Formats: sequence, structure tokens, C-alpha cells
Amino acid sequence: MRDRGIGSGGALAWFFQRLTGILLVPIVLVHLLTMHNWTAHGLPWAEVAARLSNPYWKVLELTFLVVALYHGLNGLYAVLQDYVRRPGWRLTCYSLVTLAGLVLLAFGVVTVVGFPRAELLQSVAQSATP
Amino acid sequence: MQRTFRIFRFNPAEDQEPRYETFTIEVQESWTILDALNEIKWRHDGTLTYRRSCRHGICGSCAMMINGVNDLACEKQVAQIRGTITIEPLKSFPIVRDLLVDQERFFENLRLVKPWLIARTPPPTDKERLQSPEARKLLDGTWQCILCGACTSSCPVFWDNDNFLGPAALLKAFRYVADSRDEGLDARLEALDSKYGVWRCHTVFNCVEACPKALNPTDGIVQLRRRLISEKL
Repeated sequence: MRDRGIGSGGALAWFFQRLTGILLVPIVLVHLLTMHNWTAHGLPWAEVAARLSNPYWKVLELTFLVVALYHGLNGLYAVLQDYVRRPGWRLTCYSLVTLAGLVLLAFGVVTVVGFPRAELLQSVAQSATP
Repeated sequence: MQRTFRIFRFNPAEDQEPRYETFTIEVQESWTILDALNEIKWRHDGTLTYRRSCRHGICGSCAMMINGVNDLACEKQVAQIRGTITIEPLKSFPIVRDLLVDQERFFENLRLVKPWLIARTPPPTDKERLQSPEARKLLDGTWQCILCGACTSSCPVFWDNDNFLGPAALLKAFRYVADSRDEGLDARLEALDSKYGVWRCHTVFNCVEACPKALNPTDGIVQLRRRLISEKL
């Protein structure tokens, strides 16, 4: 009896892959221009801290986190679907991808929401005073 | 004019492994690959096995891989190819013998998309189910498929997993889904929206290059996706 793969669809995965792909174009551009060391004066910590204490920037970076994680891991999921033939192995790989997604999401949320951390701000303020 | 043909030979009943046999024969300027194969079979080696019927590019029997490209032997001209001509069976189908492959899975996949008109509305009693010329025009580029299998056998997703319905079956599904008289989308969803349906296509476009009728199965698949997404939202 052949596997007809009924019910598992993939319609939403396909649709959200396109949607997140479109969203990523402007977000990645903004992220690269602001968060990478491309300006003449480099990327001072204070500048990043100031920007990330603004809730709008926080929301943008969180959106970037969620959208990029989804897009990347959903793509990986599709690759695994094609390349891993044995159902047991496939399930293991899917679980690892999901787990990696959750862990990275947690790290990302803690970093973005918690940034700049109070003690870091303090130490910078201290080192600034002569 | 002398031309050399390097032909894939394999008889599962006797051979351990496939081999290539070379024939150098006298061909005429106007010959197709099928003419050359016939010449070899009729005058040089009667055991050479291949499928052919109409020799007019309409029955879809003689699709094979000619110098690495899927085409119909009866449409490809010998003069279009320089040097030695390598002829191999369609990829990813089980080989019955030489260039003859078993296309059962191809037709099984086709049947899964229910390739016929599905209509719940009873037909008018005084005339046929009519269709406007505009609605009919939408079907151009879909109905011309001759089911030769050149596209499906060129698809890397199908090479990997022949549960994937493949470009030919999906284009045929689109031919009916796009038909103004058809009401069978729901009945076809089980196959189209499955793990091996439209979402499995990775838009490699090999099928577009392979189609000897110059059809665009990828476009059909993309339009099916659009239709399924708009049904879901």
C-alpha cells in the first residue's frame, strides 16, 4: 500500500514561507544597516543600547527573530522532508529542528527584551566617569 | 551520411548490469531518432526494445532520453544533434528492457487526481455543457499534454520520491480545476493538498524544459497552489 501523505498538506507551511520571505527583505536590510559594523564610526555599544531601549526597535528586532527563525527552520524542515527517507530518522530530525527553534527563540527573546541589561549600563557609566 | 548511436541496453532476465551498445548506420538527412531506432531494429539488431506507436508526436509512446534530454524520439531530428547520439530510457521508471520502461506509477499518480470532468450540476437537456470562448481559452497549454512522461521523469522531486504526483498529473489536475464546467476541486483536494501534491514541487522547471509539447507544468502547479490558498483563506 503506497503512502499517499493524505492530510499532512503543507499549504500553510508553503504560504507562511512566502509571507515571511517577503517580510524578511525590508527587515534584514534595516537590521544589516543598523546592527552591523558598516558605518564610518563603527558600532558603539552606547548607540545600540540607546536604540534597543526604544520599544519600537525592540518590536522590530523581535519580529526579525520570529520571522527569520520560522523561515529558516521551515525551509530546513522541507529539506529534511525530501532527504531523510526513514520515518524514524525523519521524526528525530523534525524534533531536533523544533527543539533548536524553541531554544534559539528563548535566547533571542531574552537577549532583545532584556537588552541593555542594567548592570552592563552601570558598568559602562562607571568606566565613562574618570 | 553515417551517424553513430550509443544505445542503453539492459535485459533484466539475462544481464547483471546495463551496458551501452554502439551502432554506426547510414541515415538520411530528414530522419528522426525514431527512424534511426527502427533502422537499427529492422536491419541490425532485432532484439533492441523500445516503445513507439504513432510516429507523429501525439501518442506519447516514444519519450526517451536523447543526449541527456528527455524528448520524443519521433520528433527529435537526427540532424539537430552533432556527434554521437546517446539514447537512454526515461529516468526513474523501472526498466522493462532496453529503452522500454514501466510507467505504471506515472499512470497511478495520474488517476489519483481524478483526470476527468466532475460536475454535480445536471447537464442541460437541450444542449451540451457549453463554455464561453474566453473560459475555453484559459485551458490552452493544459489539454495538449500527451502523457508521454518526459516531464515527470525529468523531475528531481520525483526521482527522489515517486509518491510525488509529478508535473504531468498536476498539470492534468489543473486542466480540470481550471475548467469553467468542473466542480471537482473538493474531490481532488485529497491528492492535490497532500504531502505529495502541489506543495512538494520545488519549482526546478526541469519539466518545462523537458516537455516536447512546450507546455508549462510548473505554471499549472503554481496556479493550483494559488487556487488552494485562496480556498483556504
